[in-house]
Amino acid sequence: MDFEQLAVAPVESPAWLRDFQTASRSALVGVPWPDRKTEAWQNTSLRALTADSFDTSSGVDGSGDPNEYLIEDLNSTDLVFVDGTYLQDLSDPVPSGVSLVHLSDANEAEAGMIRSRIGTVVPPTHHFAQLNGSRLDDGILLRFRGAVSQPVRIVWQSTGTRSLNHRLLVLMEEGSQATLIEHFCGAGEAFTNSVSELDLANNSHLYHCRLHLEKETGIHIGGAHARLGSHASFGGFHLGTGGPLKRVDVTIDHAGAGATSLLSGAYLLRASQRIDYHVCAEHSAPQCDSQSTFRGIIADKARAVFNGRIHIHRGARKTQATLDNKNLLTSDSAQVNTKPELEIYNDDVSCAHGATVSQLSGESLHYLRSRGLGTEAAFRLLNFAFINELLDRAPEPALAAFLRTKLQSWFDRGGS
Amino acid sequence: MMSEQIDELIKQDYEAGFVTDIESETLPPGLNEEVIRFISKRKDEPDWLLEWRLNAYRQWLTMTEPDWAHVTYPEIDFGAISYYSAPKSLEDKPKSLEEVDPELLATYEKLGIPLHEQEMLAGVAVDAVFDSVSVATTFREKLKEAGVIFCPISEAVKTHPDLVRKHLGSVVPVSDNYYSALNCAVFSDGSFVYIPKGVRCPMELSTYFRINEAKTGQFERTLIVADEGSEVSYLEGCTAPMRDENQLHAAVVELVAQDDARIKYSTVQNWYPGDQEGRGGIYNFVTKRGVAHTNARISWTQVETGSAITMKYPSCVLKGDNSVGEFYSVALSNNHQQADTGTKMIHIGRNTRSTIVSKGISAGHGSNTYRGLVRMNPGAENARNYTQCDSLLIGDQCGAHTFPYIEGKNPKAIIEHEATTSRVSEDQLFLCQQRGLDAEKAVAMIVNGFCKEVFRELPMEFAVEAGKLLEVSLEGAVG
Repeated sequence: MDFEQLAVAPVESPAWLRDFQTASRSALVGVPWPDRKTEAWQNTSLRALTADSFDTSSGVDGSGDPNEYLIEDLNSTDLVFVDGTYLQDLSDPVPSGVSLVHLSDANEAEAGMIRSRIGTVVPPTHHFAQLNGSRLDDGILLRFRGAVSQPVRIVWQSTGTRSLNHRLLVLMEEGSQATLIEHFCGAGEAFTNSVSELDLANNSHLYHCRLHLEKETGIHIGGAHARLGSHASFGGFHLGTGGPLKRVDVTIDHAGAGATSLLSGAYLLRASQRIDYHVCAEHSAPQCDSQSTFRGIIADKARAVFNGRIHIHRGARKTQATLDNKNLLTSDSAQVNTKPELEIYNDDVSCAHGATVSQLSGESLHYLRSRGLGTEAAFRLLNFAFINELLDRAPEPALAAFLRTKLQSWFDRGGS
Repeated sequence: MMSEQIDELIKQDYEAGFVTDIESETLPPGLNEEVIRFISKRKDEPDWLLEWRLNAYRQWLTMTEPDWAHVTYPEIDFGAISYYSAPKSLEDKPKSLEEVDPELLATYEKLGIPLHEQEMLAGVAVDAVFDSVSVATTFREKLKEAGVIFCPISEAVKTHPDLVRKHLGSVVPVSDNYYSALNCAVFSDGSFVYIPKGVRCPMELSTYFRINEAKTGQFERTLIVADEGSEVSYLEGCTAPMRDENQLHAAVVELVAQDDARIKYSTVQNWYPGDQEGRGGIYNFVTKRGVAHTNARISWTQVETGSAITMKYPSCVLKGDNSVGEFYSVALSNNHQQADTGTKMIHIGRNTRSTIVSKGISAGHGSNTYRGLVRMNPGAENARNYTQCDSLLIGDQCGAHTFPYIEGKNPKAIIEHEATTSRVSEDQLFLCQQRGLDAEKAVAMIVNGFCKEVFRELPMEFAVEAGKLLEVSLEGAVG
């Protein structure tokens, strides 16, 4: 495999998009395909990817099944993509304060704005994101103005074997406020390469939830990247179930003074699944706060990778940053590789990170059993509680309830 | 010791006339198989060792320099290094302390090093020999009584070939990494220690070593074997600044702790860190590793204040059940120093335990990186690790980084890691200054407190010196 060879632009694209494709492609020239010696891919093998994984020839394989992504009582504006195609019938009209632009039919003014922002939030060293850019044929721009109370949900459903190249650009205008949910689902066997760029202007607030709930056949390499303007605040929640190859990069760049972020996430793996989360808090401006908490439960023969990085640049005075990663191994063959990193170039900061790997404490189990719970029930309860704590932070009660049900059913299916 | 005996010893050296001999055999820069054959022949080594060196050299040729560390330095020209250089002749050495760089002497003074040791350390070619030889000989006898073998490794190859052959390269394989392979090929000399079954080494090998340390060159090789139930404490280096013209140091240290044995290995490293602009200074690329068998304990303690570039990861392979590994480290980088250091704890046996306490201090333009690995192998049932990495920043031009690799492959093993980074708090400084300490003293005191957990693990006398050393190394860091 070779990045350069795979960076094939679609046949027909508007001029501005061709320009972006070329720029993305040029970032891949001479970049070697990652192997075990590539630090960022040390513990995740790309063997599951084959030449077929990049096949975009086949069209839409099936129609979407709305039941699969139904979240009861969640009064959201849904934008539904099935196998990369926007389905108007299944989608809702966007509420006021939100504008939706499809990259393929952006007018000149919109195209100019998109071109000036797209690809600027995702770090240039993310080669799969560059690959996404070089192969980009469509995607969406979401622009938020003012306070948008209704959550906006983007459903990315995959049903077939067609290689998918999702792109999302979110522009939060100054003082705007919104909740955005990205919901990945489907039983497709496709390779999905997704890039979400979230650009938060000064004083804007975004809650971003990204759910990776695809069936375990799908391969996914993607990322959500946020840039925070001055006094912007960002809340993030990630939930990931495993697959043959699943890699999610999350970066939050605190680019404006006084920006804050609160990120949490959970990953649940069983059978021989894999997941790899690379989380990075970049602090380039002073007086920013960031807090990240990720937890994982790894069962059976599954393997998880977590890499959490706090990077404080020279000028980022008065930064406070913490990162926390806890892992539960519930079987003898489960494995986790975790690496919390600190890279700090300023002395006026307060940073901390922590990581743990263990099984459930015998004492906790004993306590519950002494209160009359069976071993199995006590085990499940503790596992559930381990993740449940993070769900309390979700701003939408309906979403939290949905995730709790998902969590419960994951444990019921013998996840632990 | 009788003065006649001493005279005799001195004479022996003189009679051998080694000064002129060795001087003429210093090799021109460059490395090839001939050079290795020369080194081996010069040391009168057995064939197997020559073969071993050549094999290492051939493997080294196929390897590439590691580039993953968080340090930058100009490319090393391995062809420009002389791989066999004899010790300086007496004539080149300063005749008395008056000829020694006054800056160096001032530092000795601050560290409280006795006069005769100052002469030794500065390489003054006078009576220093007198003291060290006499003390050394007393020590040697005491060790002999206990059955402890402690000699240069080149000597051990001849006197205890079986022991050396059995253990050399058993902990750090020849092809382990680029610099260890180079060391295997060209190692100059180093120490060999063997503690027999059930023996507790009658003294800290530090004391002896400190006085008797010879210039072992830039490719030092140390092998310590502690047989079943034995115990030894070893200290390498010293607090005094060492002026050394060799820029690259690639040493290898191997520890073998057999069942129930204990090895405590302490390092105080204060090599030339380069000047305030970051010119010059030593590159310290050392491979240190120990294997702990059943119930054994290996403890690494290091205080690293010198060298321009440091890449060093003393490791423990906890092979036997119930074995214990410990790593206590203080690493300071001031001015333009860069340190990328940490440890590896590989848990293989059941009930193995490891503790990592790392304190990094960055000042000036220094960059300090903790890089560590904790791996719980599938068999490491009930294993336990606790890691604590704290970084202290002094000044807004320095950097402190933490890269811990944590790999859990056994659910019954517990790994805990925590790290913090902060600067010397203004409250603390204010309190100290309000009590009449100047800023520099106050910072030194706070830094000493920050490192207390590590200093506690050092042999007593060195703990005191290490504290002073930090003070000296931090001079000028507080504006």
